[in-house]
Amino acid sequence: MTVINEQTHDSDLPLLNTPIISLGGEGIRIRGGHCESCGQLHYPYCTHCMRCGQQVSPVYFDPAGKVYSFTTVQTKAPYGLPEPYTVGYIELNENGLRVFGLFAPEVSGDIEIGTEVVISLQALGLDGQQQPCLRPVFTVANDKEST
Amino acid sequence: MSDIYVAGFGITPFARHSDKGLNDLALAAGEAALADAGISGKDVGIGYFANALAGRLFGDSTLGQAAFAALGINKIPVLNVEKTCTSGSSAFYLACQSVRCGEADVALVIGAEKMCVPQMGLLNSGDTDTDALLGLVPPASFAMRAQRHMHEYGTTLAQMAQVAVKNRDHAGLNPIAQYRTPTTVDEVLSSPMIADPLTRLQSIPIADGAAAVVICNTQVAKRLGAKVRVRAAVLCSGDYLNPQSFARWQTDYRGAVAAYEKAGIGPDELDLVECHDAFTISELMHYEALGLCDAGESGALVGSGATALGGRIPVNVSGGLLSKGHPIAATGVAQIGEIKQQLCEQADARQVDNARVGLAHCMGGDLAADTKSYSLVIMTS
Repeated sequence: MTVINEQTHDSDLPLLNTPIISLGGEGIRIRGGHCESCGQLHYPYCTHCMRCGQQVSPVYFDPAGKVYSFTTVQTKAPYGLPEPYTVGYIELNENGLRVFGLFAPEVSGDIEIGTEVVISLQALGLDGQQQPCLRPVFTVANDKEST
Repeated sequence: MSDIYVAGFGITPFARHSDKGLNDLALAAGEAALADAGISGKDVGIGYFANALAGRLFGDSTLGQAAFAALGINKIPVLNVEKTCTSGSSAFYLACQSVRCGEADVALVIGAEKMCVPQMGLLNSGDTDTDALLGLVPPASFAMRAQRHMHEYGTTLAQMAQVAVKNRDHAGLNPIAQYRTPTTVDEVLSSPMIADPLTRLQSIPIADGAAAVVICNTQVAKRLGAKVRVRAAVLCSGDYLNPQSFARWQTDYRGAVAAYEKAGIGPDELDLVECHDAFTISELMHYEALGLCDAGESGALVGSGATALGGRIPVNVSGGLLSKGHPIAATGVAQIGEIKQQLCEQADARQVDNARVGLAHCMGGDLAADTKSYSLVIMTS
């Protein structure tokens, strides 16, 4: 399993189009929203605020967080993902928002509610056009390889 | 503004109908509902047709026009409704509005689905949903609720499995249910894992099927002798605010409060409930949101037998989605029809004694960890 250096993106593969994105020098961030009118934070980003209806500005969150809930999916995997694969909601340390994510296959057996996780990019599975791609994956925070 | 009555109900078996098309199923349910109400298709003033999947699976459109034409119902307005699991209950909601405001005296609602076909695959929200690209499939979203419910409240695997066992026992008394052989907690837990902790026997099976209801205003109800009155029909969407709790589904609570307020009826007055048991954990979470027990007490409630036929508040005496099967757009209409049958004392072996107040609950679709659509109908006799 290739762990891609997030600073240099030394891979020819395209990054999957999700709100979990790479900003080059700033590393991988999560694109959410901030309502300047009422202060509400949003994930995923939405054009208009779910609370007050005003326009929302994009903001970028630090992806570090704790596992809020998780499951290992044992049905036929979509998008060429490994079978089985583990997914979960991550509660971001920065603001308490909960973000859906995929766990790196090599840590899927180590995930529990409360596990501290960070993010990296891996060549994993296929995109919406059935082409190989880089996927953002959460790994356990003390995993040196991914931090 | 008229009161609304449910005057007739028809349903096909929920099963793999390889010899029947969508229109055949819709026709059978529609004919049965009209016969149950004691009216002709020519008495219907407006039609609503619910279907969730035919556009994707067969490339069909304007299905309702074809289905109503097959019943000899022409000239009147016919509307098609798609809203995943709540397609049928949303069609019912619209039909109630049409009759209440005087647009029609009688409305016919048909929900029909044909999904046992090779191109079906696993339901998801489509390639544009970024969570789906990261591996979110419907069983996973319910499994994560189950994990959180177990973590926060100590709900056990056996308590979840008990939901499937109970609903299977009920299905044995319902001739239209797809799975009618009794099962056990051990069998449920040892069936293949779908997304832990949810096993196959804790997950909704697909089915083909159709259900239809006739609703009418007070004047027509008097003529037909219809006695089942709709006290509330509530429809809402998620609030989609982050963070969402996975142990307490806020839209579920919010919808229930709105429906009880509208009906002027509280959970203590209910005699039976049909709820959207997409997975075993869903039924437990709905007990809590509907106020059948306190938050965290649903595992104990099912364990006590209170929600089984003969218990304090029977839930899913039809067999629920788990044992009936889930022909998506037929489900919501079937739930409302089950309450109508029960309140008319037409439910035969699964009849709830002295059933006077019933509730039909449905929800469907995922967006931002919330439900996209929620419906609740309260009826009395």
